[in-house]
Amino acid sequence: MKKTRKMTMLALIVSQALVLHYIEGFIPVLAPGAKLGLANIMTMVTLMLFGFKEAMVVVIIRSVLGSLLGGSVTGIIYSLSGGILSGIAMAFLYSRLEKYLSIMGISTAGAVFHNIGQLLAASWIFGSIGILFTYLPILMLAAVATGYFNGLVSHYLLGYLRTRIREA
Amino acid sequence: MRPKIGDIFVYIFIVVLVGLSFLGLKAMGTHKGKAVVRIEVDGKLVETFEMPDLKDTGAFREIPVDMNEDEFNVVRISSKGIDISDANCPDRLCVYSPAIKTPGQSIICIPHKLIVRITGETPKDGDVDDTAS
Repeated sequence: MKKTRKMTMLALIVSQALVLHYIEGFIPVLAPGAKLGLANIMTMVTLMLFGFKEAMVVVIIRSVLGSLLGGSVTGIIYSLSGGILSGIAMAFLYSRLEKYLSIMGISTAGAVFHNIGQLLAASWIFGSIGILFTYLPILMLAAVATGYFNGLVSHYLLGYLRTRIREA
Repeated sequence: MRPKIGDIFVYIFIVVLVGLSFLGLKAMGTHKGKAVVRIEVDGKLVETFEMPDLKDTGAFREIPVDMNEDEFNVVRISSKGIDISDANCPDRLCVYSPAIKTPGQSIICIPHKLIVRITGETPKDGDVDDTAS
């Protein structure tokens, strides 16, 4: 893929991730603090179309801009810690264990590590590891459902995008 | 498209994590002595009191906590335990959080940097006040 084309694609992906990041804030989920993690779909797609480095760029830009859009600067640290940890985890699983894991499995693992990253950041900020233990079980339950759903969406989106990129 | 064999390990990992966090919570809550409620803002203790008996309706009250002029949370003690009855933080997740009543549990309000937690105060060995009471 040409450099300009790749850059344009990444810019589009970032803007889509941003929109998803923003609108999911309006969608209520059963547990306090739980989110659909729709922006993770774009991270997965970038990871599988381009690679680890590009996925990290998308995560970082999305987290910073998304937090500014949301209006709370403290949100950046939670967004970044979760996004980066889940990005690393998914990249590792995708590059090493892709043979054994379905896209839903990788996405679920990503959701799990996103929650762990955010809770570790919260525990660190509040100086109490109890936060991690208190909120992890309920967030894990949500991660199973949202991770599966996001994996499914990524699967169909990737199938479509791959053929489009080949045609171009 | 269909699940692969490794997916099961992701779910096993999740179950292990949930188990570990329950164990961690239990380990944090097994201090001896009276349970103490601590209200902290930005890492500083603003109020602390002994965990009241939840059957004693006389202990029920609301404790307003003001961060500054335009930020507040109201901590409530009721028969359900301790929860946040009102707050003006943007997400109000603390208000929707379930009530807490056992040591190790906590409620946090991330935008206001507030944490309400129940800890078990470990009495010091040979503490005179402790043996006297």
